[in-house]
Amino acid sequence: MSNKKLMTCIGVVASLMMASNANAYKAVTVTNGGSISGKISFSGAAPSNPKLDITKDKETCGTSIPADYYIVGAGGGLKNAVVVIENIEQGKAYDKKGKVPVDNKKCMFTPHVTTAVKGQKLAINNSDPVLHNTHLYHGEKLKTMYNIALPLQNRVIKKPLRKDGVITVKCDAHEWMLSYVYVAKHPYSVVTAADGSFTLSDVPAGSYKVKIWHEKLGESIQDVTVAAGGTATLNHSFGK
Amino acid sequence: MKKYTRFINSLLAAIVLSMVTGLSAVAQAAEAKAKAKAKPTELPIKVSPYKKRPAESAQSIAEGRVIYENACIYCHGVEAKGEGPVAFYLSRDTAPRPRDLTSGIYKFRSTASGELPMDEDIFRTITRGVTGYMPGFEGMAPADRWKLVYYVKSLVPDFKEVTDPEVIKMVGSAIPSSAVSIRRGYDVYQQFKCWECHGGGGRGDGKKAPALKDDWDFPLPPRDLTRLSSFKNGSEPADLYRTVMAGFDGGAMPSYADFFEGSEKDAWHLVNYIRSLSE
Amino acid sequence: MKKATFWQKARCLASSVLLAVLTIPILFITSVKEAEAVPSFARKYDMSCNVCHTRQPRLNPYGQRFMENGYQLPGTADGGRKEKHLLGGETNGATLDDLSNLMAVRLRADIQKPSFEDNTVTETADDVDIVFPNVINIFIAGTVTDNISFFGEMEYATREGHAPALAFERAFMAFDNLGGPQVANVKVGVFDPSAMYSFPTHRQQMNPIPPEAHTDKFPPEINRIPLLPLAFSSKMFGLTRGPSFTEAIGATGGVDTYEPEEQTDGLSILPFEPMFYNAPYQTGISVHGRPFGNSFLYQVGLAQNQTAEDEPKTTFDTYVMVRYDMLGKFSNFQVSGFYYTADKAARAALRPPPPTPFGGAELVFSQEATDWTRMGIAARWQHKSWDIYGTYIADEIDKPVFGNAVLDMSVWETDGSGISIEADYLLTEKWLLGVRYDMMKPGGLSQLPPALQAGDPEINQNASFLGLLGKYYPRPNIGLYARYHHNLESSVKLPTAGFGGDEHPATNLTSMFTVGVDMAF
Repeated sequence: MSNKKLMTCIGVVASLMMASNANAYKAVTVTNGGSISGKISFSGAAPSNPKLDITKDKETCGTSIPADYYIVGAGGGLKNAVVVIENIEQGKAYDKKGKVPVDNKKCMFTPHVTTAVKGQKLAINNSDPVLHNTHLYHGEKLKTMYNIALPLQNRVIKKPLRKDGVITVKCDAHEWMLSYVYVAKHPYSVVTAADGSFTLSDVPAGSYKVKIWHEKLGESIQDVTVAAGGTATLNHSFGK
Repeated sequence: MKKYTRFINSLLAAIVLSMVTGLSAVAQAAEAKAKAKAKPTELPIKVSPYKKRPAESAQSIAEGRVIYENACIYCHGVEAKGEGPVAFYLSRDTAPRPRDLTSGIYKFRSTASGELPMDEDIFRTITRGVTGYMPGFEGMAPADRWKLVYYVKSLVPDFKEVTDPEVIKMVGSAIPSSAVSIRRGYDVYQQFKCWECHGGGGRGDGKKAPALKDDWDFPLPPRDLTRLSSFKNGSEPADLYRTVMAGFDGGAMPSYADFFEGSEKDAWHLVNYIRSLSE
Repeated sequence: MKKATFWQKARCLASSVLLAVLTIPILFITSVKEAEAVPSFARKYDMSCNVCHTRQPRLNPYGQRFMENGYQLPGTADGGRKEKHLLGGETNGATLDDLSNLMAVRLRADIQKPSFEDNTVTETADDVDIVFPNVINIFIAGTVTDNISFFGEMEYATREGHAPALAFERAFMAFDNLGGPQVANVKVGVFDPSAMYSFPTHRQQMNPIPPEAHTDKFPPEINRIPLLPLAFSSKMFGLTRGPSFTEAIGATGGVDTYEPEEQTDGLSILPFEPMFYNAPYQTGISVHGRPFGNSFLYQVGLAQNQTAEDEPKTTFDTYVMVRYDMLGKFSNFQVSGFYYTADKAARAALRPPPPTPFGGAELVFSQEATDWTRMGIAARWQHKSWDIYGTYIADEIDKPVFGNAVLDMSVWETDGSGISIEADYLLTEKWLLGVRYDMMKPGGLSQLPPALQAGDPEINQNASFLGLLGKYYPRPNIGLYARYHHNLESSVKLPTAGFGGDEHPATNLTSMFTVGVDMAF
């Protein structure tokens, strides 16, 4: 095949792909990408971690469960905050068929906070022998996204994430159960570790607005500039 | 030269492959859309024919608003948020309240969990009403009911974006009731743990029942299945099938569609069992 | 009046027991269906009572519109349709089902304990009146076809010491949506003219307590005044229905006792009886509609009456009412006003005591019957669990002329007015609390001529009451209530002869405590 025809082919395919994905995040090869890393912390005395009473299925669930709204480690590190780049149009590739696990285990959702990319699927599982229904709400207005019964143990149900935003996960049968899935349009989102630290790698050089989100403490938006091959530091502390 | 040729050949192959995959994906999506469009004739809606309906336009929506102000506003409110003057007298501190029609949350659907309803679903609800709470407007001309459907849709912007919600497939049809069927339905009821909310005898007194709430935080106890005439989504076999498959958005009843996939006959057996509870 | 004989009492008791025994199977049969045992409209449309009622019998805005639309769903003309069948395959007795979509029964029974300053002729202080059931209403209402509706209500009332009475109270036909939706609705028959007023007489009231009075006499013997909203009352002392009613005087046996819901009325017009636009029923024709959008309601009507002239003629009172409605968030606000005129509706009278130049206990009527005009304004505000409504009603008559020097020295007030305000609060789904204030400034005879005065010259006495109500609804159509009415004027000492005791009727009843049950099926 001549080079001309090859170029035309590539051109056609590329334009086809572009046309079907207008305005969406574009996965490209990131050369000389930088990273954003840092620590999210909480200043002041750590709020108490109340215990939520378990009112049913005690044989499986126990008698009480820590609420885990705030998990502040030694040195003020805040766990389960989400750091996500707001306005990035193209960057590293990601697994489009990725499955984001949400497990009902001992009447709690595991993990408490996780991130996903729009278009991926949730893999919802029930590890308990009791009936759970996983009721997912989208957005601030808590609009029902899915309400799935999970009567059978260890049978995974997959549901597509068609919208981006904060998804609140609850269970009607067990009213204390709560977790979050932060869905972004792109893969540059991460949950902070137990000491509050995080890293976003393979970030194309540029200036970005980075959002730090916490289920109770709200959001904060910071400006970050990433140099090619460099590491930008982002530290943020939520006040009381 | 040979290296180049091989490289270009493999590149070409990759491009062709991705084109084929992409095109077949597009074709599959188109097929699915076509299937979804064909669904309405499968739905068991026994009320007025759907074939004749006025066009959905700004004018019919405006006319729908006028009809709404005459017939619906007392419960559903001036802003259609369920804030009409009758709302408190209907249910002061429990569910169900008149629906907030701007919320985009719909209870009675033929579509999957979390999806918007079909036009026919809204039409059916207006026609049949909701047992005990909303009158059925059989006595209103069908064209007027369609205008109300268009008005109700105009309140939720999502309807403009999502024109083909994922519809529940009605696989098979009602199985004539028999002892064998009821027994199988009983087994499904146990296996799928319906009793945890609805209770062993189906009286809505399961261990999880007391804490159940709807999306607006009103207590919403599970249905007493021994009272067939109180089923708000209807009590015909197809109505029960739809309830179990779609769940009730806005409430605690979840969708069991994933667990009946491949064995829809079990759903019909479950339907027979539930109907047998009220005898 | 004679106390009821033993056999009358026994018969009354026996019929009460029989009715009580019958109600239990009726309760059972109509309770077969799910949730609430519901009266006919709720059965027909498969709805709870509370879709139309705040708590029965009061109507919420949707129920008001249903009634306005001739018992068709608002916004529709769905009369005559086959009743919507219950969803599902429950078996019901077919004939009972069909009839039950048209017919409803209301039962009231209570224990009344009045307290008096002074014993009256029929009631003693510390009397306790127990009757079960007290009142049974049977309603038949519905639609014949699109926009043609009907209503019939019979009442069977039993009270201790009285023969049970069965009477057809209200019955009318309605032709709805003539000339277009909501343009004109015509009602013909016997009905409550104020049904669409913001404080209606009949449907709004919870268990009114009628008076114990004898209107065959003049002045009437008032043993106990009624506990009805006083704004509705005639507010005039010293008026009668005219000379044609005088045959009732002196009748032996079967005393003509005034009962507000009886067709035959006595000679005297009680200052406390509901009249005209606010009478529990009038025979006539009324047209109402909302031709200018959903907010304004008009009503015009004619009510048949008899003049109080020597030769009574049939006359037609005329009335007009306008109402404005505003819907808001969980709320409804309405304001209405009416104007009612009655030609030659009443006749002033005076009874000179013997010995007089008039030779005996003769009744002297004024030269002319008086025209009577009544006007009122009312407002209702309903917000979430609150329902507050009140009305101010004023009446005006002409100053009577007797053509006699002595009698014309009597003093007459031509104006009377009354105000009634009630506030209901739905504390929980099942508990309703209410408070009502009534005040009446009567007119009519204010002072007897000096020659006839005995005791205090002032006859005219304000009446005012405060009522407290608690009602528990285990189901929307069953209410258990306790009411307490306190007479705010009872400390006023106004001994006036001729009213059946030493106490003025407006001050004699110091309080009334009632406990009862009110059920509808």
